[in-house]
Amino acid sequence: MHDSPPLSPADAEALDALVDAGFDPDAVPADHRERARRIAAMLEPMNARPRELEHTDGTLTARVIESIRAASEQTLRLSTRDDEALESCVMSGFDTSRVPPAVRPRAERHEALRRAVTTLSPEHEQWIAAGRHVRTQAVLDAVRQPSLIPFEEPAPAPRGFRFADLLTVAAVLLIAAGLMLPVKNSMSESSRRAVCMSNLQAAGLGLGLYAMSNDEALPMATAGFGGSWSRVGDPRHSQSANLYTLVRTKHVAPWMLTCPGNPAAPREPLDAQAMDWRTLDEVSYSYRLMPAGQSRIDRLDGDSVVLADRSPILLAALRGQRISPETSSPNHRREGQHLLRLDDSVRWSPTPVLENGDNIWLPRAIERFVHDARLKRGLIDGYELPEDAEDTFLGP
Amino acid sequence: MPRARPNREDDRTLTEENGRLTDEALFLRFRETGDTEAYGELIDRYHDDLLRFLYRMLGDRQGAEDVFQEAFLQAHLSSASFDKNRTFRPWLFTIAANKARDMLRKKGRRKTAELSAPIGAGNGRDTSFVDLMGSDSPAPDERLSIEERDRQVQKVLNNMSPTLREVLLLAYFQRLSYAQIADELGIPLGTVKSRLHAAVASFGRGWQTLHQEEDSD
Repeated sequence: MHDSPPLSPADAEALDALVDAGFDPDAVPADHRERARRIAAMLEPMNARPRELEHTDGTLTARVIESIRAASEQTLRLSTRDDEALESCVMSGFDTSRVPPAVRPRAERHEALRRAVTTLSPEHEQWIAAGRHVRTQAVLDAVRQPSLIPFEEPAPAPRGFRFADLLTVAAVLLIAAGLMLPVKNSMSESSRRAVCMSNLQAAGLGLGLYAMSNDEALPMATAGFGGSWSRVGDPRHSQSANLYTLVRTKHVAPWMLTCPGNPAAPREPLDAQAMDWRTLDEVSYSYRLMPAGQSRIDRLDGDSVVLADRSPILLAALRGQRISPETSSPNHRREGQHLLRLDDSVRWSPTPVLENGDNIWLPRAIERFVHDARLKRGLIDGYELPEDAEDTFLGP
Repeated sequence: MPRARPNREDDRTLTEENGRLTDEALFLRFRETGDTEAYGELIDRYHDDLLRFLYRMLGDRQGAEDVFQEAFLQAHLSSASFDKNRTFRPWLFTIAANKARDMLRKKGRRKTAELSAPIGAGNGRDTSFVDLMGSDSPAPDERLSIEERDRQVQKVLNNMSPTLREVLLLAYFQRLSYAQIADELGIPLGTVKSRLHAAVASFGRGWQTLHQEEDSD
């Protein structure tokens, strides 16, 4: 279980000792025996097969612990009198003046618990009150974004078309064209980044919703990859079709997956029956490749990158151009890229290389190949120049 | 996006005794007309209670603020699925609880769990009965400073499983009947009842254990 807490050190030692002793608590050294006995007792009602735990490791221990905790919590019951008092509390809406006098003292104890849980300290109350306006405004700002308009909007009732409608539409289009074109042309890179970041945040929300209703799995249009995944437009062989599933299933609006830094991105929604973008150039974001059966989010760490500004690698490779593994996405002038991680965070990264050295554009096998090739003598033949003024490259 | 005009008749039938619109009326007005002022008022009404609830679920302020925003965005995105005959409050809190559970899972929260302590003196195999008045530990509103009580309550909650914590907090913050909780969580009424009783027992035992430990220190 992904969110299982680890055992406390004392319990972990007792579990190890129990495993070492062949799950015989009496054979456990005296200093761990009592804890080991309790753990063994808890495992027994779960029908655990102790022999399977002999080769236990951290992961298995973590998986077992949540079950043990759940089992131990289930052994807890309120005393009969507390049970009755809680019933009275719930029935009266926790108004102890309405519970029978006979159970009132215990009901008041329950109410004291409830009050303690629902009341925060003055310091926390100050934190709540101080940010009230900011938090409300933040939600409203997000709600007003066009990309967050719900899709299930009821369709307008069909009615006849009037000449006045035509005039209205024409006027709106004229005004919009006049206003929007300069805005679009003058959109600064910082604005593009802001819109892009908002897109990825919305996409993160869509991915989470998709996973919630699909057994924790991220979208996969194809059963898995047995061949090419780079043929955009052919859903059987396209990684972008996996991402497009979010649009097809209405978990995101089409424009949420359109980066303003991609001039080839479609400006109008594709056909309602579309399964994928039409060309590689149209795709604005690169989506995590996951082999068949590995798309469940509980198989990934919270900081796993799932979506980013589009990769420059495939674009270059398919055009027969040289690949530079550390190049950043063309969406933002190759200055960096936004990364959406599984924990819903979106961050700007000036490099495609993650903190752990993993290059998001390449599989590990190619990263090793590149690394080895660079170590070979003769890779540099004396004609190379720095890429730009900021590229540090020293000669003899 | 097509917008319907607000239906004054509907609004009038959805007012409270003090003349203000009910939560449901505000949400429906926002859904039908896109009136963000109505949504702003709704957010304002729930602001304090929902943040308290989320703070207790997650145990940290930043997480509570993030989920607060996500919950209202989700309510907006799911607005079409809101049945106007339902009550808004439990619907919103259930969305928030789901989001909070997601956050706990995504962060892969690892808290050290002391297995043996909550099991108490029994051998762990038999049912252990918790008697809230059968120990020397003080009721939470006695003897302690507010800050200390707050800290201790959170510590006990953090040690509970997310499932029991959720049902305890939903019941405590909303004072709902079993039937209402069952309806919102989509689980049988009997399960809600046994879970809530186990949750209260778990909290009570955690409280007692904490005080036994602190008294012995």
